[in-house]
Amino acid sequence: MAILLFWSYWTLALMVGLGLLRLLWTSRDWREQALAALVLVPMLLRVLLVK
Amino acid sequence: MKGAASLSPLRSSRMRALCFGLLALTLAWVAGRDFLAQREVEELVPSPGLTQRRWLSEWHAPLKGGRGDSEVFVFRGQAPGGRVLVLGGTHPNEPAGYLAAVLLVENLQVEAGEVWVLPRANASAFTATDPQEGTPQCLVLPAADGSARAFRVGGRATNPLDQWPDPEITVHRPSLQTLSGVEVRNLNRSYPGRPDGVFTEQVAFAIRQLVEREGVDLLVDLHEAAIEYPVVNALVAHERAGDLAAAAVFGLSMAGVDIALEPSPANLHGLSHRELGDARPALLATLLETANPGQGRLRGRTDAAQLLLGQDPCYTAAQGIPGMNKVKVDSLGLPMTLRVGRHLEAVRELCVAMEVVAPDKVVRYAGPPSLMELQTAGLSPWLRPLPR
Repeated sequence: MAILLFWSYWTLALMVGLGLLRLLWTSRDWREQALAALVLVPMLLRVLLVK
Repeated sequence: MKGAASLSPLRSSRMRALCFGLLALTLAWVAGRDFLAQREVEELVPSPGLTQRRWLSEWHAPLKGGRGDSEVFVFRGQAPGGRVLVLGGTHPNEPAGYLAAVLLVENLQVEAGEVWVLPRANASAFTATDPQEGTPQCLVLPAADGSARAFRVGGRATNPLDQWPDPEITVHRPSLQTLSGVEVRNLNRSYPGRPDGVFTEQVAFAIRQLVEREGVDLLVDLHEAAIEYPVVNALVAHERAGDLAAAAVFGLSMAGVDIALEPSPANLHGLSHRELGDARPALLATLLETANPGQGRLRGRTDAAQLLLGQDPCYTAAQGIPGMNKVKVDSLGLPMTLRVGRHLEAVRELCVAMEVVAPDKVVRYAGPPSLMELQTAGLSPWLRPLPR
């Protein structure tokens, strides 16, 4: 079941997205935060807006 | 005091997170505008001879409103005759095929029979260029009044946003022939198509339905190919269209246009001339290839000037390697006017040859420029200005 869930594009996107959000919000290292923002924001826009 | 002191770095890191988030949003907005602009479909200005404007989804309803749907321009003559379907933009990275179809749409005056033009056969493939190819997103040309007209250059295959993921191996239906995975998005490997197949198969199915239900007599699929590709400057014909194609090649030779006649391979499935020719026994199915220096592996910098002028120092240098270039590429290059002109001359000769091969299926028209006119005056006089 876990493999099946992981297989899903949306599940993977959600897990990566939450990981990046956590990194952005809790990290004290500006480089980690910058990287998280630059990956997370375009990814969110792609998933939410671009059909 | 101790609590307030420990809160401050956290607060500043969250402020930083918000700033980075806003910065990323700004960057994504700027880049996203370019990205989404690729989906804007440029307007074509049909000639006054246009009879009807239809949509591909009329032959396969699930395409309606989606990015597989595409305009079909119908031109009917006063006198009865045959029905020709011209496909442009099967591969939007082959711009002469698309621009030749555009010039037909904007200039046709059909006298006998009917000419149907589908200038963006794979509309989805116009919305993205191929990765790592460095092709420009559009070509800007002056129209007859000097105003700018932009024509999109796309990729070879359907946009992956419309059909994803690619399989490891593409299995063509119904032949079960295997091809590389990416060919699953290639319209010219997807015929005859399936109504419940993947996106590209559905587009192919719609075109097949158009051909069968409307009783198309002659199909001309406009393409370009790399200089080192063996089938270049060629007319490919289904075996039933052999006589027609031979007559057209003869006519083209008389007009000074050298072109090879290639039989459609019976064992290579998925191609328009093979599958549509097999699907409709009354159809004479053909495909045209011109030589495009902006496509092959040997080419140098690929930009709008290179695509329009057809000049490439790498191919000119390769001229010295025996057998490398299948078409001569000198410093004058193979300009767009030559490539579009070859297509238009070949379509005209195929229609002339119809009168010989099938006299009741005559198709006669005026309007589109000849090769000589294009080489003298360029494309602009035949591009109508956009309505204001």
